[in-house]
Amino acid sequence: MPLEIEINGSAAPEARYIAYAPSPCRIRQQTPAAGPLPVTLRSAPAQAGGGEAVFYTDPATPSSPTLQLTLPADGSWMDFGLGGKWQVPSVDDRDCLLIATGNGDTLTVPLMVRLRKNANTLLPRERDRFLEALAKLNAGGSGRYQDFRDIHVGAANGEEHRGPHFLPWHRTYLLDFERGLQAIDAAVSLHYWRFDQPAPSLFQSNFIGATSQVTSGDPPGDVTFDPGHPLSGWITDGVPGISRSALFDTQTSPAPGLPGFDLLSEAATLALGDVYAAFAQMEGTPHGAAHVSFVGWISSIPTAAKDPLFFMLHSNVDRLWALWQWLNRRTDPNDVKVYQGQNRDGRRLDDSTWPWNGVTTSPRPNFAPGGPLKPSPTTDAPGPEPTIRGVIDYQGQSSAAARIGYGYDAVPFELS
Amino acid sequence: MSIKDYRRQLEQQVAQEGARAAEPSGGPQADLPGGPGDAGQLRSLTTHPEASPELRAAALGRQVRQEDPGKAHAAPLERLADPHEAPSVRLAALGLLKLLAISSPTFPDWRPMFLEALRSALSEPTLRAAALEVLTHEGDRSTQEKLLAGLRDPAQALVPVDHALRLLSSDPHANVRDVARSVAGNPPNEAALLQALKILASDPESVGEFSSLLADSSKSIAVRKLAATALNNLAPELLPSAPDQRLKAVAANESALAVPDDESALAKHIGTLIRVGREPVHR
Amino acid sequence: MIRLVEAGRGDSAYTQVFLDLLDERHPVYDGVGTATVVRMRGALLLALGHHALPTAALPFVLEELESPHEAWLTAVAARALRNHPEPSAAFVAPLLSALFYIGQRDDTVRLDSYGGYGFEGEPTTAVAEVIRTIGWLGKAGERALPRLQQLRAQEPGPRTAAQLDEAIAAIQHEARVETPECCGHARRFVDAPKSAPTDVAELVLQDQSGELLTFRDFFIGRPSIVVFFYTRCDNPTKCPLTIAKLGRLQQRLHSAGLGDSIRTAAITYDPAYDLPPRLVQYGRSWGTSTSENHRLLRTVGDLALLRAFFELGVNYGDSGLVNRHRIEAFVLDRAGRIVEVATRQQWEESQIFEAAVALTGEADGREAADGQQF
Repeated sequence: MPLEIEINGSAAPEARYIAYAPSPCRIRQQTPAAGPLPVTLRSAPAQAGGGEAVFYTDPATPSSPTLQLTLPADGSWMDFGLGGKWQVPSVDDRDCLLIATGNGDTLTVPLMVRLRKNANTLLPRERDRFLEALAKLNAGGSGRYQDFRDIHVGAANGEEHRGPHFLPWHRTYLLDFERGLQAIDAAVSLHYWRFDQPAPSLFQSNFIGATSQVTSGDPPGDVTFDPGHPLSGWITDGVPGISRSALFDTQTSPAPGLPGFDLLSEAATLALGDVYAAFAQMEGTPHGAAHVSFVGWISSIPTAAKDPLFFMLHSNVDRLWALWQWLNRRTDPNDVKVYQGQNRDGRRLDDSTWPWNGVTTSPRPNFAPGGPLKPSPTTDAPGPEPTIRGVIDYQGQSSAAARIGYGYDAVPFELS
Repeated sequence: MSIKDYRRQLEQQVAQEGARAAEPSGGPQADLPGGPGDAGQLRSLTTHPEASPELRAAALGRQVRQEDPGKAHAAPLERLADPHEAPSVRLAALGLLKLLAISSPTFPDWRPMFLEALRSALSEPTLRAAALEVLTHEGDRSTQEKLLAGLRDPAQALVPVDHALRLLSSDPHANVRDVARSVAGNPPNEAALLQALKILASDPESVGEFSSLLADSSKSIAVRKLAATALNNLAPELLPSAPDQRLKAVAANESALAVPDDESALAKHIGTLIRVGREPVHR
Repeated sequence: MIRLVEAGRGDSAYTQVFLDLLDERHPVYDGVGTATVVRMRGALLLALGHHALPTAALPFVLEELESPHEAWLTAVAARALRNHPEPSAAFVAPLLSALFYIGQRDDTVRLDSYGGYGFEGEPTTAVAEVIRTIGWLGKAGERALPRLQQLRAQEPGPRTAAQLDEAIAAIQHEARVETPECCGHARRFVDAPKSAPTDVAELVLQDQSGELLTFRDFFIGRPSIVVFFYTRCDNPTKCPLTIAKLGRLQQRLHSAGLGDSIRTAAITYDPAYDLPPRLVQYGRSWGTSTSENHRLLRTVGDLALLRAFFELGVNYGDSGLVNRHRIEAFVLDRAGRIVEVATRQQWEESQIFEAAVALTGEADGREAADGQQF
């Protein structure tokens, strides 16, 4: 059929990944034709359980399951937005179909509605794909995973923790990490550990490792994996294995936090307040409380990033922020209720973020591992040297150009 | 659920949580004052001689939760450093300080006092494991040397051999390799052997040892798998890339021959290391 | 060591003995652990700085401040510096570096106790000593004021705030004095450039791609810049920074059109462990690029030959792991001779760049084409 479709600004298959937020797309008649051509766009799963998409025409109009367009005869492009249908994400690569029908012909473009999901409810094949990419990122200790370990060290603490920049810095860090996974397997997302609920499927020998339960005065053990598990060759700092035990029963309980300093539930976290300065207290609990619900590497900043669970913990921290943003309509970075910074390098709204900015002069550390932020074939945002501003409106709610190309299964995109 | 209903549901939950925030929760915390104006009561409860350690620990946690983040460390630091305080309260204080080490904006200022208090806590057996963990994560050299002394002279041991080796493994400069070699040569138990081998997994001079362990079917599967992982790290060319026919059959789930479970597990492990555990060579 | 230090503390007759013992190559460091090295070096610096710190000791003191990693050593260095006869504005940058890096690793130390351990004696911290020394600079520390005030405004906590207040007051209230410029520069010219002996020229190396080559293949024929590192270095102000600076030098060379005229190499101190995949990852992490003329290298032959040729400031503990090394960078001419050395203190990229560029026009008095062999 003489039609062309571009998704995320490209005809290349590697650009065919969308989240809930509308991705910019366009369609045209390939060669000038006799006359205008009416086409109908719709989406359907490629197989049972596959993803579905919906269509957007402009920022003010809600999505629709189909879209009627009349394509000009001269081959001009017509724009439209394509986003994942709420609660119908993909489970496999290319299991969502974009179907254009016109003049009796049909063009079908397979793509993926790619979202970060609750790790506890992943299908086995989603889990295995994620683990394989994670293991390859580690590559027996000689892979790029080491960059993320080197970034999250004591000398850089001021760039990462203990202030308003904590959330946007970690959002950028996770984005870089996820893009590192996607460079290995584009169908993978950084799924989250929902720490305020039991996650029995996650803490298994076929996932993030069977994790023994101990009391707070006990030493940690190593997690155990099934034979042939991708993470069974995990090495960080030259040492094999993952040191982690839980202060709770991972099969029946959520992460507890500490006596008197409980881990806040999702609702309690959202209830911290509807302005950023109040919400940012979540760095203590549930974030810190989740970390210290274990003994082992994940319980201390100098060693936390050695444990891959760390990234899933932080994915949930970011999800909570994203959920708070949606619930309270906090996406315009210029609003102090959305982000309230400090007058300190790395914490102001328009400050670029270390290490991706490559700044190595005082008061930043004089090293910056890993280079600029990895690019994505699905978006140009937030750019190789992101700012705090650049990651706040991550779905492009206030400004479509701000969309940074990921989303969560349980955080909607909703036009205001 | 529609987006609209989802929003409504979350808003209701948030509203309920907001109302519940000032109410005390159950368990030992049921007796705790919970409102924002109760900081003074919490403070006196944490040191009240007639309150149970459980209640005092919970009060300490609640107090820390309510205090200014820049100052919240003071009370738990005092409790941890007090040798006359109940061990369970000191342990709770240690846990709270671990949390504050992550989130407190003034942690660099009180880190010295925290480490000092942890060192003094080593003399209390119920605190020792937790204190050692933090001290070694923070790279404390005096703790490393105490652990080494204990490995060389059991009379000075603070913790069992495997535990000491695990703690020392987090720092390649902990000077533990000779001791690890010695333990690997004459391990008191399998746990100690495994920890020693983990340390040696980054020792190029142990390549021969790992090759032998991998080939030795009398060794446990855990040891042999660790040997394979170590070889992949140190000398990947020595890892059998073409396992013999039996192992190939196992890897392919063929039923050609009966193969012991251990061999099957080992073959799978090696296959995994080769598949994911190597970075391609670059110009 | 303890007895020697006690005997010679404050006695200028022992100055050279102590300085010799601070050389990383001294056999006293062979086979000992990092913790032992730290204790020994701290004791030596304290002894040297017991009364008047000799100028010859300054590079060792400033090194511990510029590239801090151990609270004990940093505290000792800061304390010893206060016994230098004159404050100097040149001390500001190293002290501020110490404040930044050791600030995240501060610890209680007792300067009267060997290694700073134990619970007896007057406690202090590395940060306290550093800030106190900044205050000691008085007006010479003026350049530190903006940074101190910035840190103070960040509400660092009561102890650090009080220390900063004191230092700021000391700097602001002292009358202006001129202080002499001083102090150990990293860089020195080599008066008699040293040629690589035959066994070094034929030494086999391996690069990050696995390719084997000799020292002659890479270092003879074009000027080169050489740095040393190892991937298990745990001090971010040493090897990671060295590699990052090499990467910036590479960019500068390329921008100047000299990327093929001047070679760069980073050679590992730890060849048995730093196999090619680790070299690749390290270079990638810390910002060097690799190509025909820019490589990460390990020795396949005897590292001792390179150690001797470059007079490397490195030593090894148990199992051959580095227990201590200094920062070092070298410029080699087309004949592979060492003509410039920068050691111990952080080197300036521009100085190494200029030194290497100056060699591109030399070739026994005539213009040399790139790649010409000698």
